[in-house]
Order: sequence, then C-alpha cells, then structure tokens
Amino acid sequence: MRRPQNIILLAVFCALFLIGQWLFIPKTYVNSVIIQALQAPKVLLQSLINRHEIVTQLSDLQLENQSLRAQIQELKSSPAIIKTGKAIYVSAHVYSSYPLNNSGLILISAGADQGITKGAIVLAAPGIFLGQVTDVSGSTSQVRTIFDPDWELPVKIGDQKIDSLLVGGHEPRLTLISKKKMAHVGQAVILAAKEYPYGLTVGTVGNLKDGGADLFQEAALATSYQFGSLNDMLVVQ
Amino acid sequence: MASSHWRAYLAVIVVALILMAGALQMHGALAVYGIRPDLMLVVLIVSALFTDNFLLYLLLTLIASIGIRFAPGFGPEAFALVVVSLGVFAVKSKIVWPGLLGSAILIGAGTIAVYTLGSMQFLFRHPGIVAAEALYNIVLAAILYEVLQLITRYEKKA
Repeated sequence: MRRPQNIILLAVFCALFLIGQWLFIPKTYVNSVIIQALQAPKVLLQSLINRHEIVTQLSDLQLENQSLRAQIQELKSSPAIIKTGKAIYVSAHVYSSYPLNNSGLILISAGADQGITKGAIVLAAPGIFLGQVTDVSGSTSQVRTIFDPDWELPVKIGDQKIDSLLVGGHEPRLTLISKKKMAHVGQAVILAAKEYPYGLTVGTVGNLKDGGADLFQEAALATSYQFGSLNDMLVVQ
Repeated sequence: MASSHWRAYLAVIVVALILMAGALQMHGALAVYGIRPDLMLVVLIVSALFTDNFLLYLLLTLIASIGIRFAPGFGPEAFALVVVSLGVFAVKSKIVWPGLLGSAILIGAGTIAVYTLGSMQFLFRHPGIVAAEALYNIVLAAILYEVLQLITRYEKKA
C-alpha cells in the first residue's frame, strides 16, 4: 500500500530536482543580480571609506596599463629582423621624407645598430625595389628612392625584356622604349642595373605615350603603393 | 596693453603654425600630384608681413629651421629657408604692392630663391615642378594672409 506512495514521492522529488536544476542557472543569475543590488549600498559605503586606497589602486592600474601599451608599441615599432628563405631583411619605419620637391630621400628607423650598411637595397615589400641606403647613422638611415628626380636606372619591361631607362621623380617615367618593341600597359618592370640583384620588380608599365616622330616612346611607371603613404619597408642585409 | 597681449597671442599662433607646418611638410602631407608645398616658407613669409619685431622673427626662423631639419646637422634646406626668410624680412618694407599681391610676389620669389640656394640644378632641370610649387605656395599664403588679417582686424576693434 505504501509502495506506490513512496514511488510517487520519489518521482515528485526527482521532478523537483530536475526542475530545480533546470531553473538553477537563471536562479543563480537572479540571485546574483539581487545580491549585487543588495550589496550595492555596502560596496558604495566601502568605496567611500576606502576611496583614497581605491583611487590610488586605479591610478596604479592606469599607469601599468599605459606602460604595457607603450611597451607593446615599442616592440611593434622597433626594427625587426625577418628571415624568409635565403633573404634576411630588417623591417623599418619611415620617420620623415625630404621636405622639398628636389629630392626623394626618406629617413628610416634602422641604422648601423641593426646592421644596415651604406648601399643596402631597400624594398617596399619582398621583391619590390624602392631604393638604396645612401647614409647610415646609429639608429637611422637615409634612403634614396625611385621617386628622386635625379635618379636614373636601367630596367627591362615584360617577358620580351624590352630595354628602358627609369627616370625618377614624383611620377617616375620609363623612357627610351623602342617603338619597334611592343610594350603594353600592365607589363612588369624589372631592375637591370648591375649594382643590384637582377630581377627585382620596380612596378608595372602605366600609361604609354607615343613619342610622335621619335624613335622611342615613354610610359609612366605604375607602383602598387603610394609613396606618400608608405610607412614600412624592408632593408636587405 | 591690449595690443601687447594681442601681439603675444599672434606670436603663439605663428609658433603653433610653424610646428604644425613642420610636421605636415616632413610627412609629405598636402601633396597634390606629388607636388608638396613649402609650408614653412609660407608661414614664415606671411608672418614677416605681420611683425616688425626682428628678434621675434629671428626666433621663429630658427624654430622653423629646426623643424624642417631632415637629417642631423644643418642641411641645405634649412640654410635656404633661413636665408630666404630673413631676406624677405629685410625687403618687405620696400615692396611696391603691399598686401595680398605683395605677399604673393614674395612667396613666388621666395620659392625660386629656396631652390636657387638649395639645389640650383633642380631649378633648371624641373622648372615646371618649381612653378607648380610656387603657385601652390601662393594659394596657401593667400589663405593664411587673410586669416591673419582677420585676426589683426579683430585686434584693432578690440
């Protein structure tokens, strides 16, 4: 007689247990909110009493946070040595560019301390020639770029290896392109100066200008980066 | 007394302009089709027309020469800027057309003088770039001249 009662009682307990478990998380959440709300005046009072201590702790934490952020920034900003395959690069940031229009010089954040030497090749990205180190000091270097109006470099265009002369400047130009050779817009322009490793890309052929009766034609050099907004570069070691 | 306050106020504005111009110029900001204006020269020449205090102007020129310094040492760009700015201060009282036209002539001549002193070869090889820069400098100088004129007019009213 008692047995069914016991079973029912057990079933009710089980059901209550399950419902309780089901409601446990919302309940604890509600409880925590209520407890937080009830504890709020106490916390407020405590914070008022320990105000000075809390303000000091907060100030210390802010300083620590700022210091950690500064350290992260410093690590990000410092020149890093990158090894990819056989090549070893030093990554550097641009400090400033020459203030007048007569030069395409830039000052970068890596120098003799990072193993940079005069004459080192500077790349805008791996394989993309940008310029050459002309002067080195402890932690900075001066770089002459292809945007220097007085710099001229022999280059070759496309798979046909059409000879041309790259003339630097605000808008670098590809000059002395033979009209007999068919140069096209978008063809790769590679460096062919004996002082540099053969095959470094300088850019691509931009707008072609027919030189009229001249034997040669000219083209603009298109680069995949904007010189003015270039912030990082690689120096080949 | 009010006038001296205004002069100090104007000097502070010009120093702030020089510092701002230096930062912008060294990062190639405001470049149009690759032609960057000589902001330092613009600020110095225009401010020369608004002050008669040579010592103050000399100080401004020295601040500007430090601000424009590209590499350690006193480079040709800083030398040209100092010489041209002081030259403009010396001849400003002798300009035939005072005001906006006079400042435009001084800016144009100043731009050419900077390249004559800094890089004469560039002046002959790329006269188009120098002309474009001079024009750009004149436009910016006209804007700055009008702003400083407004400030000084407000000073006179006050």
